[in-house]
Amino acid sequence: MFKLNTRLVLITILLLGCFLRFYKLDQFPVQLNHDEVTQLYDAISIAHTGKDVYGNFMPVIFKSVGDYKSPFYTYTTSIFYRIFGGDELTIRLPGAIFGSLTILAVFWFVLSLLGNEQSSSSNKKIALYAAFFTAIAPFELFFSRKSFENGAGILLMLIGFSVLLMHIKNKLSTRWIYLSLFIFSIAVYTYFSHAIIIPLLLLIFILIFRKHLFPNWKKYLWPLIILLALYSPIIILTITNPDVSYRTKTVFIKQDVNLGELIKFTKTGNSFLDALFENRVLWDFSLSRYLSQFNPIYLFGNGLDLTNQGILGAGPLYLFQLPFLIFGVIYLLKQTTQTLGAKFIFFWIIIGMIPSGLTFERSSPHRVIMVFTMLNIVSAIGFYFLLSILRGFRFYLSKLLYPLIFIIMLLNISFFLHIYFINYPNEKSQSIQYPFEQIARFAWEQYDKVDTIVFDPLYGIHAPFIGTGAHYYLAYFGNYPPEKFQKEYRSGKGERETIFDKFSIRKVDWREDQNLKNVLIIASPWSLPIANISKDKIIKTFKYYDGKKDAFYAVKL
Amino acid sequence: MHNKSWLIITILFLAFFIRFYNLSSPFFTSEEARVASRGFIISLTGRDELGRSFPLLFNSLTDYQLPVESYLVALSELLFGKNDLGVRLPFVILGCILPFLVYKMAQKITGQFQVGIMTAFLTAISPTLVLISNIPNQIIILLNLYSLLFLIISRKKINRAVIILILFIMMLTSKIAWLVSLPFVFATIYYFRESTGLQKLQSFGKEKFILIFSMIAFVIIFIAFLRIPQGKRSILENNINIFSDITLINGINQLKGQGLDAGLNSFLERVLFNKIHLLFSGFLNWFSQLSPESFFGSIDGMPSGIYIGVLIIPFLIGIAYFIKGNRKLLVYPLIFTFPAFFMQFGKYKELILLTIPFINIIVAVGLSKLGKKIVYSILIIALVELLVTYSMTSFNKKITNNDRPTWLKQVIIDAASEQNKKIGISDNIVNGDITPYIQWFTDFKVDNFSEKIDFPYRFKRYNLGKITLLLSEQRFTSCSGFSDDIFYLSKRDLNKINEINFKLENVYKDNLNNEVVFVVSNICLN
Repeated sequence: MFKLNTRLVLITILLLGCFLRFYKLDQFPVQLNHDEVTQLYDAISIAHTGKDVYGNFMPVIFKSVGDYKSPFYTYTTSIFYRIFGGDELTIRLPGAIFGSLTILAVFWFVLSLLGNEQSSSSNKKIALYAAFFTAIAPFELFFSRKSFENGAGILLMLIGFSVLLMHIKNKLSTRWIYLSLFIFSIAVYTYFSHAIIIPLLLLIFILIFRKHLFPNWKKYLWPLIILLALYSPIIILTITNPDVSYRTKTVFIKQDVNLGELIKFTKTGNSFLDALFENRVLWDFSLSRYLSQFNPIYLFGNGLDLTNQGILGAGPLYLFQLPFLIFGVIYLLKQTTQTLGAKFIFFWIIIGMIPSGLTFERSSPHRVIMVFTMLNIVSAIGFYFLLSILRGFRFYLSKLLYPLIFIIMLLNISFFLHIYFINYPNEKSQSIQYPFEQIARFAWEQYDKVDTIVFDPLYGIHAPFIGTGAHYYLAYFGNYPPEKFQKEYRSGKGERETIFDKFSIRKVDWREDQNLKNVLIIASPWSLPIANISKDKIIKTFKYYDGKKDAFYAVKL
Repeated sequence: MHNKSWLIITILFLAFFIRFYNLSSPFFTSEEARVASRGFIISLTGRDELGRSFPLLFNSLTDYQLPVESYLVALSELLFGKNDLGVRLPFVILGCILPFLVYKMAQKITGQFQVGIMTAFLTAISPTLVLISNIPNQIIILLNLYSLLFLIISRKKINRAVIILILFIMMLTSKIAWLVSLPFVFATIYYFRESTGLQKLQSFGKEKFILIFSMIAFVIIFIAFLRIPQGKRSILENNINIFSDITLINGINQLKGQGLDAGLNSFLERVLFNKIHLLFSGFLNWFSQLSPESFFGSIDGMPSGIYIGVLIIPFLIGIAYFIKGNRKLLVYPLIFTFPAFFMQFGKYKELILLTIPFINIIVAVGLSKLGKKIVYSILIIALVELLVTYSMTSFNKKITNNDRPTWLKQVIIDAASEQNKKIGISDNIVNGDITPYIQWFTDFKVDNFSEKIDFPYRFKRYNLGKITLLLSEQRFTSCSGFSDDIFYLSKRDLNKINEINFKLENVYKDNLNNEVVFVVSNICLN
């Protein structure tokens, strides 16, 4: 037999990871979603003017479409814009790059966490398996390719904790502490939930590794003070900014309709009992939601919500990882050499799931990517454990099982890639706001032919839904100068109306709007009585991705 | 008496008190009312509600019902009459025996008295177990039988006759037992039988006899069930319905079709999208029964779970303990939830409930590994949670408004008390079947049921003496002359008589204060 060179294998895994992240990156996802287009246009605006599209100078939080985005990803994209220009790929490059680097970060993190001795070959194998699972993981590919800002945060967290672990295990100088805390302070600006989770995890880390840290606690004082100073802007802003508070409230679990109904049932007329019962229901509901994130159907079946076919979809992890995960948990609990590392892994998983348990959405995988990363690592440990068991089997049996495992993995990966590249755009056309790009491009083609272009983003296959960020789509795909946009953009008098240049984004009321002259109206069948509109006025029909159902009509008056 | 004995007696007394204190609660669901009323009819006449003499299979709106539960209720009602005590007492008693059996089991598994006592205590106070100890159901019977079987098999001396009897009763209690009993017996012999193991199984000992009997019993009962009319249908619709899950099969075809549309190779599409997905789905469904939300999160849309939330801490510690050391116990939850492998997606409460004794042992072990102060804190929090839960009576009534319609009793009593009148009641006043409620709350007599059905499957009865159920297709008209008829209408049927000049006699509201039943006269059936 031959021994594989660790670096060579790691590079191969990295290349595989890069291929899966960069292959046809400009074509899949099939269109920029509202998060991407808003961040891209804000980044362009920052690069040109130092202000976001609403004219705020170097904001710490981007208002965007009212979802108040963390700043890191937008500023990073503005740098990429300066280098690569305003292509659609520009917004996706940082995500794919951060995602690829995460493969290396996971490798390093696992080595730092599990390694008593850096040279231990078993730890290297586990780290390589973890890197491999990271390279191919459904959630990693999905979020890296759609350029989700949380990915950068995970990368930084992994690096930060790896640096801390290196400092502890190899007794390195205090500079490593400063370095790790500096990395963490950037990480909290990548995603809102990180501003809460990272300090919590740091606290857990300190508690778990206290024996290594406390003898010299004085030397950690200054780094901690500096860390707090770096954290303070986002914490102060989160507390004091009414818009951010509003945003926090709107995603809080209390917004859940079912919970609202249950809370109504608790009312007795006695204010003390009402508060008591309400909190009891709230606690149960939150716990339930939190725990539901550990449901195998969610984790291995359909958690990424890429299809409309129930269980038939893709979870954040592959189904073949389920037995590995069980073996990994058994291994971590049974082993006695890396108990602190094992504790940290378990606490990471438990704490990391909290954001998903406190928000109104039934499941929100984007909020708990850090947990999936850790589950990937645990499954890599389990994979190693399982292979070491298989080695003890009779020769012919292990010879049979290895190819079987390989075939199962290959089929599972192929299934995910099929779901992602083929089924996802067909099934979830609406949630990626398809065909907003085509609409924006068409609107600009018609720009000189009409006085006003009205766009009503209310649409949907089965139920009406208001697409967000329509003004961003129009501005970005029209190459509209951001400085001009900042001056032009304003609220209108109509229902949910915003205006810039010739564009009015608002509700279309056909009874009134049919009388307009020299106007292009783009709206869906939910707003237009299409059977009553003369066919020669309908100059374009926009379909959903599957090409079957009509999404919007362009009506020229 | 020894202190330890006093402790267990106190716990059993506590269990009895909690269950007996509020005996008339909860209000029956439609299927529970069916068993309650059937029990009384059998105790009086020896015939079921459809007029069949001592049948082995009963009717329900979802599936065939196996006989043990109904005859147990019949026996009790024979002694105590047609009242809450008569229906609920057997289950209260079973609910009180269970903590003792579980205490013995925990001691057997862990060898620790403290864990045994804690397990018994958790079993005694568990809100879900209290609930199923107060209503007619198969699960509390099965829980007792499995616990007993465990204790008997794991003893040194085996009494084959008792084991065969228990297995026989189990098989006649619920179809779950058909799938679960054999692996249960095997696991108990293999893991917990004193001084045995695989060696013993290899020789033809008592253990092998029990296994073979379990297997033969399963095969016989399964084949016999398949031979009855609608037997296959009953199994396919209720027990292995994943294979008839149209959504899943349509989903496979839809995703495959999108691949073909995109120009992908048809062989590849067949490899990636085929009926093997049914197995993967079954596998995930099985495992999802055991996800922590099943025990500590909501189930059936109820806000609180089977366990009090704070007990998740000792649960996790207990799980870690068993994974680290003796993993044998963890096999049982897998065995009990295995039937979910063959079923459509969803949480199957009856399967999850069967794992409770074992989960209680895990929680108790977790508690035993914690410091005293932490244990006391957890128990105090748990107690507060429990008290708050029990004091939310109005809330509980509201969230169970559809399944346990407490308001319905008065409606039926009033309807039945109408003298010399024909009464019509809309069949959709409640979720499920209203017939069992009418049978339970009125002095319903078994008449000579005209339709002779030996094996009624999902059979719904519409004519109950002077009460007639009104179906959705029923139409009304204004009466040409005087009419004595009185109608208890749902909103569905009320909307049908908008154009008719009717007299509104009364309106009933449900627990959510919605108007649900309208008593109407001066109209006639079309």
